[in-house]
Amino acid sequence: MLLFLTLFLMMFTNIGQKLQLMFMTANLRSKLIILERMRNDSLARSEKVLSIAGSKNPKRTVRRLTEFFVIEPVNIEPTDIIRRLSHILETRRHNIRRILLEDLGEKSKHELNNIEVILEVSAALNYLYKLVRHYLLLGEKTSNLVLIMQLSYLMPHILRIAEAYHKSLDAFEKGIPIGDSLGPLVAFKLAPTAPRHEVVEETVYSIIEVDGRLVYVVKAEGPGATVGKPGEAIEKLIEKEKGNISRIITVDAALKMEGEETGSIAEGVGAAIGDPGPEKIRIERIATKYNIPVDAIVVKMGAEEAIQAMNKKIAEAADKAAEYVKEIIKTRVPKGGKVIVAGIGNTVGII
Amino acid sequence: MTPLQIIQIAVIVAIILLLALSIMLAEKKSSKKKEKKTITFVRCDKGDYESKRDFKPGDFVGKVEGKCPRCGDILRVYSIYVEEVEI
Repeated sequence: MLLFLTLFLMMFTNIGQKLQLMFMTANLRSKLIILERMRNDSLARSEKVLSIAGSKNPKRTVRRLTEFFVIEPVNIEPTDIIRRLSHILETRRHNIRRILLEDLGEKSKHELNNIEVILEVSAALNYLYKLVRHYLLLGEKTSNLVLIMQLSYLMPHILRIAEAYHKSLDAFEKGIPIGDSLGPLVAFKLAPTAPRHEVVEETVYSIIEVDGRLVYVVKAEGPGATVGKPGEAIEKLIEKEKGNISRIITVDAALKMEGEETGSIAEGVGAAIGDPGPEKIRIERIATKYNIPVDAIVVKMGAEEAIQAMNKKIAEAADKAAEYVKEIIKTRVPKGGKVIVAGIGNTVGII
Repeated sequence: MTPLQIIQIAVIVAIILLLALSIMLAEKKSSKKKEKKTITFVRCDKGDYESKRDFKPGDFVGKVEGKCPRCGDILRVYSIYVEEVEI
């Protein structure tokens, strides 16, 4: 009788759903506490970094910069969208830099770059925490089982991303190259001793020779944490050479699919660069203008590996990728020709 | 005891033993703890000398470390990476 009653209540009333909602909400609350701990730790570490750097009010600066937002340009009218996006991103960069300079006074650009990235990581964790809390509270308020269920199924993935961000703080605090630094590491391996010349802000190039071919090696200016402006740099170098460039080779880290091996190298065509758009389009436009072929070499890695301290597999892949690039230069660029090799990515810990 | 009961008891005992074995193996596996270590790889520009050491704050790829003990050329940091070491 009791069994029948229980089954009846479960099947013909919404008690079952309510129970499910209750269990899932309790589970999400426990996960939210983990997220909150990571967020709080990253904020405390950011404040500590700012204090060490001489901040007058670290709490206020961390709050200002972790709550900083960017409004994307109107995209239903695409005319000029890249210029508008580029302008907004540039304004963001200048404003963040100004806030830091106001608080810290004069600092080296490498130190400022590292602090900026640490604050960006904290901002990402802060946003993830607030987003999960928002949907959890909304789901509870409206008793929306579908919303809570979706959040519950997404939670393991969200926690993995949050954990990766949290662990990346170590690398940025100590100035250790991350997985995404693969491109700049390949550039370094190609031109370890050649002098660096600034071509545009925070972006440098070196000149080397590979078997009778002149190679411009472009990378962000290290060892601070920055990605530089490789698109603008490539455009400037090509215009300086009046289009007399035989090939552009871009080297970058790429996200692997589950099952693919970390450190495996793949080759393709197009600009291998994961920026929001302005840098990539510059490479595409200038290459099209002068009819220059664009090659892409990528080294595969997981999303977590890309933002954490570089592991041995990726470091070893950088040597192989550098050899791969040399091979392409020898086989596809005529003797006496000029080629641009761009190591794309964050150059933290790499000069 | 009927033969069916004996088989049932044997199956239950076998399952218990398998469970105990798998728990023991899992414990043995987890006892091999791994630690992440950051390594700085140093190499001579000519390539005739290389060595590894623990990462020190202030290290970066491209940092000049001094002179090569073999040829006297420049000794440079060539890569910094994290390695898993069993403890």
